[in-house]
Amino acid sequence: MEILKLEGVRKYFGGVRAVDGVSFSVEEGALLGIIGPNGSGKTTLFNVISGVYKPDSGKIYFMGERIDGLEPHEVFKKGIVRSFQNPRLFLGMTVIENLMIPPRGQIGENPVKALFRGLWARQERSLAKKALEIIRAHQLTQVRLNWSGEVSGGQMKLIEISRALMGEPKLLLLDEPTAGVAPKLAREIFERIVKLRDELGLTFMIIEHRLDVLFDYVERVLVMHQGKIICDGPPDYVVKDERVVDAYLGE
Amino acid sequence: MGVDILPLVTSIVTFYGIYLILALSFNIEYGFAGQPNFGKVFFYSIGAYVAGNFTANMLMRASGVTGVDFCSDLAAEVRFKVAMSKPWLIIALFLLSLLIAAAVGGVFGYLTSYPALRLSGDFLAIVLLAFGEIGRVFARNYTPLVCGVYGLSGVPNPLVWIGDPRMARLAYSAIVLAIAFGMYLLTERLVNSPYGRLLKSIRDDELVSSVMGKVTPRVKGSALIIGSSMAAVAGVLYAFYVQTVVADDFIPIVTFVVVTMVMLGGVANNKGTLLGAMVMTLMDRLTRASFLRILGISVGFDISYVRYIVTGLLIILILMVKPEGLISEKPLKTPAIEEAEKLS
Ligand SMILES: Nc1ncnc2c1ncn2[C@@H]1O[C@H](COP(=O)(O)OP(=O)(O)OP(=O)(O)O)[C@@H](O)[C@H]1O
Ligand SMILES: [Mg+2]
Repeated sequence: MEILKLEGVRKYFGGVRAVDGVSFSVEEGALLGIIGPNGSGKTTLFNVISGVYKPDSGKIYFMGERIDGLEPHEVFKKGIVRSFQNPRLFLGMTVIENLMIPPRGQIGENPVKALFRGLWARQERSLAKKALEIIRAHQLTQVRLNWSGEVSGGQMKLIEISRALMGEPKLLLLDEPTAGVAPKLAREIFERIVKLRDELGLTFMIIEHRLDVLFDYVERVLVMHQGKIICDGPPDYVVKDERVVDAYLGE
Repeated sequence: MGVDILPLVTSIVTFYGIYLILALSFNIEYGFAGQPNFGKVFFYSIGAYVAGNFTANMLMRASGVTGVDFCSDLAAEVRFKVAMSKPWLIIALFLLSLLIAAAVGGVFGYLTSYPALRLSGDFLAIVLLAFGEIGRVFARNYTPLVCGVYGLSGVPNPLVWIGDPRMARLAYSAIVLAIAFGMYLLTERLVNSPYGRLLKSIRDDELVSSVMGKVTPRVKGSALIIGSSMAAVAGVLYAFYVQTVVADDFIPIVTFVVVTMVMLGGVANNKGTLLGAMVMTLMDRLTRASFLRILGISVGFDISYVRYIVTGLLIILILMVKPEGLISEKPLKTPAIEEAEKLS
């Protein structure tokens, strides 16, 4: 089943054609890589899908429903969760608290109910256990109680992924999840992603500059160049494509 | 020279309680939710107007006296007499004023949040500051509310029937302090929760909070409703203490004194607010001629200006030397943190 479909999506910034008429669709349970030289529009594509920007034109469907023009929180509610390329953590909170933001239906987020701990403490504890497990899988246990600004750059990226995972996504948009992360851990993260896809049926779209790692795990790659998709296919097909080679060499 | 210490204690305790409530409310809005409600004094004044107008009207009615101008000295005297003879009535009016003011303050908080929350940070601050001034000018000119520029006198202390005014005020100050401390405990409960975390997420990065599914305008609105409701309660406590309600008491400096309390103590930290409110209450009292007179001190100039200067200097000083305030922010005390601490 098609989980996401874009039709002729455009987003310009003045004269910059950041996303210039992009159409494609993604099957549920897919592991999709998105690559392309710097400034080719990858992050903008995520911004448009997640509601951070409204597209200038074009349509976006998620599980058959139009989602272009929705507010970010509405897109989240449908089941799309994203991470940020340049970590945007809640800096006035600890690492674990950052992970406690996305979970849905938190009873204690209601200001009246917040006053009665008995109403939400149990839910909170079970969410915290889940968060701590994700923290462990991303080797963040040591820093779980640090302020989120007081960790290394690589750890910030790991917190980004971890936080997104706490949002119970159907579709996860990860923007360069392993930049600045040690190669071994980067591979472990990808292995976890594959496992999540296999076990929970999540769908992943992953922007990545580390092609060697990415190509070992994804089965399909979109290549962007100057706001357009110039190639779409399995990794071994994409690497042989001349347009792709040109796009990268011309950088 | 013997200084009568009792009125000093009463004054400091009462104003500490009142300012503490205001500062806690500003801490919720600004410290936690990141919304600089520079219209604080407006919501404070709403409480005072409600308390004054409602209590005075009800007392006039209970007196059976008709044909007397609501704003006259005679009417004020009538109201005191009724309150002296009917303790239960003035106490009930006091309690009702608290409830009504909390509700009206909340409603105004909601109404102002509607346009205000479509604006960000600085604009929000300016718009709310303007609201406060518009409210004051309105109250000055619309006499049925609190008798315009002259103000409404004859809002009796709810314990006036005790007889000895000094004891009545002392007992009242204890009540104010108790209410303020209750508010402190409630605020602590409110913010050490997923709600507090939610507020902080908006403060730290509103866009990301929204991307993580939070309906941020609604949440910011809820913080303003809570904060405004609390400020109105403080206004009621003030009106019954000074026993008069004058629109010109509610000038922007009050807001800035409250802002300084929170910044001095440390944002998003209610313990810091306890401390900041204490320091600034002392500063506030010591720069008032009426207070200094009790101490037997008189200065040859308008001491109020010292308050403006000190407040301004303090804000600059805090920003330059210790922007995080005297006590810095701590992680919220939630079960999630407890679970994380258990791990080691
Ligand atoms: N908010 C914005 N305002 C103006 N221009 C923007 C904005 N966001 C992106 N752009 C421009 O749009 C183009 C695409 O940027 P985008 O960040 O989507 O590229 P990218 O493929 O993610 O690049 P990178 O690999 O460096 O992350 C760039 O020319 C960029 O400067
Ligand atoms: Mg990018």
